Amino acid sequence: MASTTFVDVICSGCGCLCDDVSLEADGDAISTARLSCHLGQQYLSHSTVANGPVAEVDGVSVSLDVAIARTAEILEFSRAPLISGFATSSVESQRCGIGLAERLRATFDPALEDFHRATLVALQSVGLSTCTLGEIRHRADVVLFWGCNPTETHPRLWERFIDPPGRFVPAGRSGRYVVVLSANRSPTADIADEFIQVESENDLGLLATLRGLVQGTTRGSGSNPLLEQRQSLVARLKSAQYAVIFFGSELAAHDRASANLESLFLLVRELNSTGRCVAVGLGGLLAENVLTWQTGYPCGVSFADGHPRYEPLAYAAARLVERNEVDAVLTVGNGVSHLTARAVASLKSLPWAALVASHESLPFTPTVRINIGHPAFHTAGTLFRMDGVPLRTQPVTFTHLPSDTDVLTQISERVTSQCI
Amino acid sequence: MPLRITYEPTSQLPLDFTGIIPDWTRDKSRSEIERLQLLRGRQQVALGDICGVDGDPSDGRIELKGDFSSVHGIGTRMGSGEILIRGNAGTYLGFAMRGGEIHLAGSARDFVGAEMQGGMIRVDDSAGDHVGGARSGSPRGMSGGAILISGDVGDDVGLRMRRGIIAVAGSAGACIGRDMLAGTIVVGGSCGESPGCGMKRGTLCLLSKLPRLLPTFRLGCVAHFPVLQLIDRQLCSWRFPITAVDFRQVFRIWHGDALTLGKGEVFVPECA
Repeated sequence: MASTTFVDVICSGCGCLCDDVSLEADGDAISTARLSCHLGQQYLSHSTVANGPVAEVDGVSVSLDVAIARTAEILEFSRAPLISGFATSSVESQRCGIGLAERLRATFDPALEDFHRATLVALQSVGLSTCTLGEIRHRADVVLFWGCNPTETHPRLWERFIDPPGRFVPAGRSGRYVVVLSANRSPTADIADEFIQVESENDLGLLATLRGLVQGTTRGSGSNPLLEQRQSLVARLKSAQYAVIFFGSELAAHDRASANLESLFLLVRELNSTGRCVAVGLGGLLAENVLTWQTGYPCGVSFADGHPRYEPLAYAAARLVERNEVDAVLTVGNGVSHLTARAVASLKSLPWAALVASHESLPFTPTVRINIGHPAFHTAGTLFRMDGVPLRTQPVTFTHLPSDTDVLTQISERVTSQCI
Repeated sequence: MPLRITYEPTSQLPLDFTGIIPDWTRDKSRSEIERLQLLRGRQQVALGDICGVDGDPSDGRIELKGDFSSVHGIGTRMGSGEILIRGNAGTYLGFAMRGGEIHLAGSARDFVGAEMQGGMIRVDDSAGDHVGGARSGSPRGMSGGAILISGDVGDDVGLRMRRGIIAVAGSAGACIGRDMLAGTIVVGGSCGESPGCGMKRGTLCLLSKLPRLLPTFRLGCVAHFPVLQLIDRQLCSWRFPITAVDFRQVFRIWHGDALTLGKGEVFVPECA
């Protein structure tokens, strides 16, 4: 088969959603790809689907129709179903999932890391000034990475948004001052201008010191090199034309995650009283946007009452499964990677339908497994970048597997007439 | 004779007990109470179909017996009367209650007394996170009443608390009294880091070792504080002997959080 060249293909290997990938595909496989990051290479390796079964019920290969019927039956007879996952799913698929949850009066909780959930809770409490990655490229002259290591988690962030010249930063990387603040020295710290090591459990204390310095309520006494370092950082942030704080999962590593993040967001707010400062969370794709515009809430929504009811912590999928407060689970994408070991153990006793990409391995055989096409290779759809920018993907290879949107639509059609 | 409700669940599916409060049951017949529709999972079920109901509700007392650890919202918006729970309770015990008393002879999950406005909650064992706190997205936590917990509690006790008193005989997690506006929290055992972060006013009385405070707290003085004796007297009147600590001894006081109003107080015994 003659190969076709695709340009500006989107890579969903990390939250950056790089949209400048070129590749050549010949039908069901990608033959050549120009990619420079290891996550992208790993991501592309999943583009070719083996000729395995489309669906399995209790580990036995069945037709798609049988698997859909069994999934519908599980959900229909459940008294407290949970729909979760969607971490790498398209907007269209999430809409179907939320629609299904509403019809079933189920609980819907997107797969979120603790860091991401704490960010949403803090965001709701104190708000946040944020921006797009493009704005950072064109404006940021001071960049602070707090508790994150983008060199490993978002390999091309530096190449695409820190190094190149921007409209108001014509010198590019040399026109930006980059600081890394972390518990351990990482590869990102090696290429930054300054590295500040913080005690891993004292982020909140450091944030309080910085906020005190910004407000003028904390003053230095005598020669304290540590305080001088903090003062210099605050002076740099305050005098910046446009300061950006990228924050990561280290801030949520302890039980004070939402306190840390609220304090960080307040620091950003206070810096905006003298200059311009924004913050961006370094996470994966945004899985909560669709739920927010459909229900008003970003995660942990129960439709049991017939209307959305929000509990970001109590309705977290891991907690519900751990406490056996659900009796059937439908996951889309890798919906179990964020579950605790205890939750996974509890899941074993529940009927579980999993819609997963064929390369995904699951901790144990689910009641129903339906292999779906990859949202970024095999079907067209919209994905949200970590800064909230939606990007449209196009199919580049062919697969015999159905899309998650199609499967969810069919499940929905089966349960609608009988369930409610 | 109180109204007795017995619940022996066969599964841990969540049951919403909102509405079963003495204010509502007092003038209802037993059959009316049995017909009350509750939400279990996504299904509406009649109380009488899943619980045993007997006794007389007219005296404003309700006694719950069995395993209520998956039952949420017991005593929600209760205004008067008494609820006694013989067993464990789920989340939101006494949520937004306005008066009366809840006595839990067991342990509770998160959000005990969240946003309560009055009345009293006694927990004989431990409780989860956010005791007397605010729900996610809500600007105010507890604004009145008393919560007395004999065991341990989790994180964020008294989150955005406005008024009232929380006393914990055991240990507490991190960030107690976070963003507190006013009120009093007394902890007999050890407590986690950063107590009082973001507090504007209010009193934290930590009777065990002082955890790491934020740098935005400053040491005030070391003295005898009559206010602590008042707190002790109040706790004794509720028969809640928190610890062997003598409230008449010398205490240190820290003021903070300087990032907000800075009028909060943290008391710790000088000898701790």
